[in-house]
Amino acid sequence: MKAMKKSFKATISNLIVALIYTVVIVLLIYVIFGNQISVAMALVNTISIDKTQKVVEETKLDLNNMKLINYPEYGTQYGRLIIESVDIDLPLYFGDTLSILSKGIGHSSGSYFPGEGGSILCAGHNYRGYIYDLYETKNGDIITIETNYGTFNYEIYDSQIIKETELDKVPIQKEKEILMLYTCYPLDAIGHPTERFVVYANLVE
Amino acid sequence: MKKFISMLFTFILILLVLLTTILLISKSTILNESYILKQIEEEAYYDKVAENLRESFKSNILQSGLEEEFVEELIDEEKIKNDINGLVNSIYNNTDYNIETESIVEKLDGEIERVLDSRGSVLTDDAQESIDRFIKAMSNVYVNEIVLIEGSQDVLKNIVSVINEYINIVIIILIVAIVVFAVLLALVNRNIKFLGKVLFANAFIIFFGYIFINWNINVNNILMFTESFSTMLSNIISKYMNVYLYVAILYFVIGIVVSILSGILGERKSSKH
Repeated sequence: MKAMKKSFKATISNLIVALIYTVVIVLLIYVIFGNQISVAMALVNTISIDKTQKVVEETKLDLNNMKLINYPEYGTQYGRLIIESVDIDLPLYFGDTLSILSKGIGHSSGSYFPGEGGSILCAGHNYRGYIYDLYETKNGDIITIETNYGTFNYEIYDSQIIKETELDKVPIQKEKEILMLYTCYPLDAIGHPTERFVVYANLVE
Repeated sequence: MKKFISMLFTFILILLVLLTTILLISKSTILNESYILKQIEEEAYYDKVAENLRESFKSNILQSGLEEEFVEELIDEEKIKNDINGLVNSIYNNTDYNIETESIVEKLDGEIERVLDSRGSVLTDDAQESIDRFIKAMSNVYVNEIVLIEGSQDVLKNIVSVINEYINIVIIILIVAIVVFAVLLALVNRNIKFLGKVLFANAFIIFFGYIFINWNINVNNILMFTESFSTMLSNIISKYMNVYLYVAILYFVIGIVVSILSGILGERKSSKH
């Protein structure tokens, strides 16, 4: 009984002393390595993302300022692009990386959104199931962009073949709402084509 | 004076045990090639890389004029596994590993030739250049998916090789120091009560560190290179952290046993007197 009591006492005293040592050592570590620890934590947190589901605010168009309220997130689908005359109906994504283009039409992040009154630059693969038939379109055909904030109709008025480096042929401006939709050219090219087939369309509705 | 020496030695012993624990856990986990390879296997990382490659190849194939289905011809799961293992091996053994893309280039060349023959096309200089660019891009896609960031393995190689070069000798020195200080403390105190303090203090410090890191960093949210790599990295870090938690619990339990034993031994000694 006495031994048990002594053992209990020894354990408790050890725990208390160990706690004191812990506090001293933790404080010591904090004083010596505090800055380095903070930097390391900050570094790790910069490569961390919040995976909790974010509430996505609905995209709206401010008609007075011709500007979107709550832009869609990069890489997400925000509408559909339809060309009835050649049977094209594809999801429209914000962004135009190869991975986005493999899902549908990509909207270049450096251009304006439908309704904002400027150049809208969109791209798609010339693969079947994508915009393979874009070459079949004619002047006067209608390209429709359906978004959750409105539907926009554009009438094709021109098309041309350009070099991939001829960026002046797809100018980004804010004076007039123009949709420029392009795909790789020539149609049967093998490899990384260096030309693009672009159709130009004016906003009509 | 005796009390002060005892306190100082206990303090040093706590630090020595803590450092040894960290080094031993790291040596048997993140600094151990077999452990990492086992984690990669368990996380099905090879399959995830193959899936990512499928997507990346598809993205490039869609603009190339080749059939989408040809992607499957380019996916060689055995090669992916060998390349990842080779890369890990090169990091842990400080050797060079070259990811060969010759087989991908050959397959692409063969398919392009077949398509061109079937069309009866004649290659112009521009067309050849465009094909070369495409093949180069596809090779880069493969290498980037395996290596993730060019040069990253060299940085890791340098860190791991330096640590592995000295870790064994450091651990031996630490263990010798632990034994020396433990013997000295046993002689000074004439009991083993100090062992309980050392183990409890280590359990508390490790537990505090575990809570502190988990409080400040959400390991599951780490995003580095690709999603599959991030998931694997998060899981490896979580497992690494959990080992510390188990060791803290083990130290705590052994601390209780040692404290009880020292109490019993102390009682026996005093009843003899």
